[in-house]
Amino acid sequence: MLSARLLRIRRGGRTVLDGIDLAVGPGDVVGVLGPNGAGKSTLIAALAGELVPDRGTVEIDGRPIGALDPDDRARRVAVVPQSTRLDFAFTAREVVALGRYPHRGRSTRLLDRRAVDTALAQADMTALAERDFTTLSGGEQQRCTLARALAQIDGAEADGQRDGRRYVLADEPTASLDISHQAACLAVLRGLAAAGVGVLCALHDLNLAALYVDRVIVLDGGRVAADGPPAAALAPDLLRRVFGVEMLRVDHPGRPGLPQFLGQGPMAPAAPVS
Amino acid sequence: MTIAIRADAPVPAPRRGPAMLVAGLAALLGVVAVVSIGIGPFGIAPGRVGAILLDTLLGGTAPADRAVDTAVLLGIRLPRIALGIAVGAVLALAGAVMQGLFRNPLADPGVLGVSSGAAVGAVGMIVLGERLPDLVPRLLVPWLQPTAAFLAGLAATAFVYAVARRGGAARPTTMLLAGIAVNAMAGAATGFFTFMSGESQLRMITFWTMGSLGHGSWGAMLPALLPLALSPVLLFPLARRLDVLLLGEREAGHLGVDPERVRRRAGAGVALGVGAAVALTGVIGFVGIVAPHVVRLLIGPAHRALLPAAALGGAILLLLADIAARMALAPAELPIGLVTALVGGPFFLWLLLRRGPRAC
Repeated sequence: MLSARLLRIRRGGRTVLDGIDLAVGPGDVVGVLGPNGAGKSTLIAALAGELVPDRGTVEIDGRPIGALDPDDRARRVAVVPQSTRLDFAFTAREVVALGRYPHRGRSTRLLDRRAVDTALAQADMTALAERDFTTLSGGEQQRCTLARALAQIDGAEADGQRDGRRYVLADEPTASLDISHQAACLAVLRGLAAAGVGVLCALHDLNLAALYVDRVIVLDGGRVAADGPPAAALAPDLLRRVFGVEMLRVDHPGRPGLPQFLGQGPMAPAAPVS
Repeated sequence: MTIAIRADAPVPAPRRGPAMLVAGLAALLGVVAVVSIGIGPFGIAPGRVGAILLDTLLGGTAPADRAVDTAVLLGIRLPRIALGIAVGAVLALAGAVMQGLFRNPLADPGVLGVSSGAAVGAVGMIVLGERLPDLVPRLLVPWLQPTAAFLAGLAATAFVYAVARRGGAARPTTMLLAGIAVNAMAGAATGFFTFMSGESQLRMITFWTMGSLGHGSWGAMLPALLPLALSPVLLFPLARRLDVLLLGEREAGHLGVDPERVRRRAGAGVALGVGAAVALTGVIGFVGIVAPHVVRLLIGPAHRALLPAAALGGAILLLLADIAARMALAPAELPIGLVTALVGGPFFLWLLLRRGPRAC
């Protein structure tokens, strides 16, 4: 369980997160939604052990995340950033292989290569593996970065030891992907969850969240505004309050009970249906 | 598309035989060194160079007809070549490490002002040093100049880094502008010392600001050779952490690398190496840009192969530059810093233009 309790983070004299209570368990896929500046990226940084809380705690399986050895933490919590800027011509495979850094000395070359190959295949990057990362499109770079995170938490070690539960924190991993790779990316994250990995994923797309996520946390001004299954958490009045937009909420035609959201456009009718 | 899977692929997998490149560069360095030893106002054929070196190694005494050759070779040429190899290797190594640290292929001890900072220390010691010996134990006097160069170089490194990454990640423009600022300040300080200096000091200062391998005698080099040797010991083990750091500081943190610790160790290693190099040979620019860049084009940016290959490449470059410096106006000798700047300046410009407006 990766959990935050009564978390408060201040940055540059401003309270960015306050009173955050949440937990990501093995097999969970938790989506974090919220307007720009709501604190999604800060939440991910805090859960990754990158920031020291001003109040409250972040714990991984009952231990404060700051108490973990950095390599141990890195083998258990991987972060997929929004984008990666690289000025040197690593191949995609080399970038993915950097994810094996915290496994040095515990893994073997064979296990490392297997982890890298598997990660490349899962992110649909095998065909581009030998390409120069800096020449890839934004979406391809993002898939490569996803693969790096997958290789990072691939926990099969030489001594057969598996050190605890693993977590992936993804910060808008679908932002620069085309629709087929958006779906593929979230499917990969779901596949990880099926294998026991806890996934937390910041998203902007309500429909993707409703389709792929078990639980939604809506952040607003650094606080949790809603927490629950998409159908319950993404209520129209909450969306109106948090995002300031009117959305038409409909049932997914193919999957009854699953909400989807339609924008109203500039010629919005006066009263939205809900 | 077929994907070559090598039996021994390390992580990260390098591409075109880095081991072969390192071996090839080492062989090339050997050839250039032997040729370079023979070249000069007093020519010695490569075959004769080999014979003399072999004789010396085996402990034999030189035959009478070779006595002069032997004296020139062992007393003058060999220290010069050894100095060229050591300084070239360390400058290229320092350049490669700084480029990794700043995540920017334009970073270099010369461009960012580390060299000119170290020169302030060295020149300051030339001018002020004469007044110190009364205060300092005699035994420590030869160490003053390398120490001053190291400390001044370290200060310049820390300053450039602090300015370049103010408010987050190091930005290329800020980095280059910070380098300009340090170079300007160091230039002012060196100018002040030049202004203060006497006739004989002036000649030495001129030597230090333009660079030369000509001052090599084994005894005089010793105090600076130790820090010069310590620098690779600090820098080589950083290779994989520098790879990870290329992804960004936050990303490195997520992978268990503490950027602050890498930065401190790299900064100390660079300042030690460049400080010692400057104390020995003066300011020699651009080796730290050219050698790592050419190596990256051949085998990619992974530091475990890049660092040794760049060091070998830097040694070769500096020996070639030294040959040019000795031949161009023979029997007069050009300062080697002029030669490297003549080659490196346009190379730097090409790098800058090739990267396009995005670079700055």
